[in-house]
Amino acid sequence: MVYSNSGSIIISVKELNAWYGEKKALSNINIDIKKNSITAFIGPSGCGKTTLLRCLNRMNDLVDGFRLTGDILLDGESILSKNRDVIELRRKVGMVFQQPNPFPKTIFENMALPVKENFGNVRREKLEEIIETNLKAASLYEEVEDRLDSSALRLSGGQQQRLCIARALTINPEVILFDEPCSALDPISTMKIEDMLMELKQKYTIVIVTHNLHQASRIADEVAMFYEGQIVEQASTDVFFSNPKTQLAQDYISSKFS
Amino acid sequence: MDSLELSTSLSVDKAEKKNQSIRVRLGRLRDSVCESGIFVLTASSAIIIVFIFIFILIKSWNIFAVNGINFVLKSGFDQQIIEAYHAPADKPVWHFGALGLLLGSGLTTVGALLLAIPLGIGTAIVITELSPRWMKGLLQSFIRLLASIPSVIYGLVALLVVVPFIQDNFITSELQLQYIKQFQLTGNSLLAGIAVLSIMITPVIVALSVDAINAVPHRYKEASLALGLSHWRTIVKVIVPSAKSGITAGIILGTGRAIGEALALSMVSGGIGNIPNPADGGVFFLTPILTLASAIINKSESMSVPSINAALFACGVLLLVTCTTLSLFTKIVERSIRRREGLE
Amino acid sequence: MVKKMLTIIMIAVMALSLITSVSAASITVKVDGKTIALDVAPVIESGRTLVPIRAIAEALGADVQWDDATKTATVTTVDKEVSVTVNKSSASVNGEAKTLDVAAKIIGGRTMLPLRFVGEALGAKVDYIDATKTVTVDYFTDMSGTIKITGSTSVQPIFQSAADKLMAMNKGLSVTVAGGGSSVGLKDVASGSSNIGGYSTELSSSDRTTYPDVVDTKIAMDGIAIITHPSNPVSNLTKQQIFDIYTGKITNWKDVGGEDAAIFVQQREATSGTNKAFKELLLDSIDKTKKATVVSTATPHASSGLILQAVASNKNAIGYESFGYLNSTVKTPTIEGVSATKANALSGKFPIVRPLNVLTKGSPSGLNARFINYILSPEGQKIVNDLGYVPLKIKE
Repeated sequence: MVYSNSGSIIISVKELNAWYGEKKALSNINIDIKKNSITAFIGPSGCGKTTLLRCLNRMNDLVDGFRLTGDILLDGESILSKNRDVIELRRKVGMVFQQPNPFPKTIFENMALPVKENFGNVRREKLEEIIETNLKAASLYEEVEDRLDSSALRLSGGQQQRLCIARALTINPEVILFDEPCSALDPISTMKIEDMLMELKQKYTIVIVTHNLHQASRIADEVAMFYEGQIVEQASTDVFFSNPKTQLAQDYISSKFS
Repeated sequence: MDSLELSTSLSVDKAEKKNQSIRVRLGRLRDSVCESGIFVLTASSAIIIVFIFIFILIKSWNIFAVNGINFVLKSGFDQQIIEAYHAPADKPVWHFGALGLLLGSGLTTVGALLLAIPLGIGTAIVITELSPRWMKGLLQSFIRLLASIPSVIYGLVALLVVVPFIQDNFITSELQLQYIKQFQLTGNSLLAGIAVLSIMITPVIVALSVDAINAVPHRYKEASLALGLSHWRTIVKVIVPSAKSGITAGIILGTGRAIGEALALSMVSGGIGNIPNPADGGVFFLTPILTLASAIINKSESMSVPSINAALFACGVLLLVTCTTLSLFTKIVERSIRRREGLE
Repeated sequence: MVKKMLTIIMIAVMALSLITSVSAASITVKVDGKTIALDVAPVIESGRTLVPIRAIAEALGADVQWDDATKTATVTTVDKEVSVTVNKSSASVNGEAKTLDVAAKIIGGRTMLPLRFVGEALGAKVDYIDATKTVTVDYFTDMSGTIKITGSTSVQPIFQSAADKLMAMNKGLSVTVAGGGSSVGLKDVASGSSNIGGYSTELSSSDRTTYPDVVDTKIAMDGIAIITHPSNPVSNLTKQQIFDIYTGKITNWKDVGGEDAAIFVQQREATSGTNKAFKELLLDSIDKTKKATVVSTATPHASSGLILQAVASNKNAIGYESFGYLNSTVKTPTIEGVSATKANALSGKFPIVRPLNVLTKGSPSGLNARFINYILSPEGQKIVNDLGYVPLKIKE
């Protein structure tokens, strides 16, 4: 473990550069993500924060013309090496997207599919137990317990997003990536999800992309600010908001907070 | 701004507003003209369809009046046509039984679907999910080409390739001798019919499935991959199920084409309305058969005889009823799928 | 001197009169643009050209009869009958009396008829071009309008070739030829939806009663051959054997001297004239009750081409086919030892021979008649022969 410098660091990004075709998206990124904490990626649109997030579970593999150099370590092992099993990686690093994306199936089927696919044939009682536990963890259970067999698409936007979080929990990931999970939601739904995230960090490591500085300041332990493909400042949340070192961060914070 | 300027600008404003309201009204008028035009067209095509139904029903009425339900329960259509054709004008033959034709249509269609559905969906998956971009376009234009080839070409190719292949590989002269009193085992058969039909309807299923799969939101795929499903499991468990209603539409359209296909089948399926017997084992598939649509084509030259004319129109009624049922069935299936998915 | 002068003048006049008869020898007659070879030179009488009519009339599809007792020549086409009597100025066209300005004559033992009168009576356009001393008779090059033809697929190739040739010669002529089978032709002509129908067998008496105004004209003969796959060793079949095969009594080739294999009987659909002719000429000749029907396993084919293809591609098949469609892809075994040739068909030795007819509503007239006359002309009969059918008028 050459790069690992602390037992509490779960993800370590080293010298990462990324391109979409000819366009450079990330330059020289170095960042460590601490275990059981919430790390927020902030910065203006198009600054590369989502790109980095999607590198962490290799979702960018789907994008034509995407390539990168450098390395990302998960528990000290490279996730970019050729013989790395992407599926196994994604089981460890779950993801919740900006748009709620439940499958056009029942709530129960949405929850059961990843369990069945990842753990094989699970007994019915066990399956129901997993589903119940995770729906509760996503504080959705009370709202849907009597309509598990109705379509997930009939839930409200906030409920759908919490279902997606619950679904992501079913496969016991170590890290969960959130890509602006509240941007499509109303303030009350947003609050519910923020509360949930604070709960979840007891068990999981959370990385969240957000353009909402209030949100970052409310929930994050660590903050990394991106600008034009680079991390301009990273610090603990308290330090970042009370005493930003760079002019860019100062400007960004003041403009967003004013 | 002085008062003069103000008033001019006001009056300009007024003129503008007037202009605008005229434009709006013109726009509305145009919309309503378009709408009522479309309504008239739709209504008239509906009326035409109703008239076609009535016309065919009237033309065939005598057959149903004479035969009743026996028209679909009895067989022997070919011999009945010959008898009717040679019957003296004062003693016309009105007894017909189209069971053989009905089974012929049913068996070829079901057989073709059993082959074409997996082939069609599989091909659609290859095109949409598994091939590189340059190949996608190539494959898709190839499929479109296949879908637009006239059925007579398929019939010709099948006649020159499929029929001899069946004859050479599945039929022995002992078998031919064994069955010669019942029917001729020449390769022109149910199997040849199924083969040509499945090739004909696969492109239809592929084309609609490709559209349906492409219409599946990318976010479903991302969600599935992020949950640790492999690409293949994502296709099987998420993408194809989400495209179900479009794929079903493709299958039903293909079924419609299969049931209505006349020319290609009349070239390769044997031309005699035998009823294949499951007890014959593999020979079941080698039996020469005749379908409703092919019968209408093959026997149409005998239509100068009123009873044959009516009998062929009655075959048309059976075809129309099947197609209508199918299209209603599509609607019901589609609606129930959409309801289950929560889209309605 | 005067006497001398008179002699000269007389000689001159005689010479002049001689010249008129000599100049007549250089007159050419062209029918539809083609020069007709005449065995006796035309003669001009009072400005009218007299010709030996036979070759010219035949080029127009006509028959010429000579009644030696009344010295009357009768020229007949499907729509016209023209009678001219030697040395009489009266003639008849379709029974109607006409007057001739120059009567027919016997010159040097040959009957010479006035060309313009006969030609125009038959419906042709006759012109004399003084500069080239040519008489032009335009008949098949003087057609315009439309003809719609349906019916027997056996007669169809004849119609099609004739139509192609005629349309190439006439800009304003449009002939559409479709098949459908003999009974379709009969029905279409009766209903007026076709001008001409092809009918590949004899009109039955019941058809004549049902459609009293339909008239049939024979244009050719056709034999129906039995066809088998080229590799089939059977080289002769008796009528009884064919009957037994087609009624399902014999189902194995070995029973008629072939291999141990099933016999696949091919037939035409019910409407086919060939089908009808086969039943009447073969099945009904064995079973006089006329109750015999083709075995129900027989595969029906919608056209002559399809049955030929079916037999050519199946080594155990047997079918029947009009002479006109025969080719080397199939074998034609002899029937009762008689091979399927035109000569045998014409001589009556071949057992399955039928007439090919054209049907018209009422006696053929106008454009329809001209089309039929064309098929009956030497050119038309050559088409018949080239297509493999038996021409009515065989030119040796």
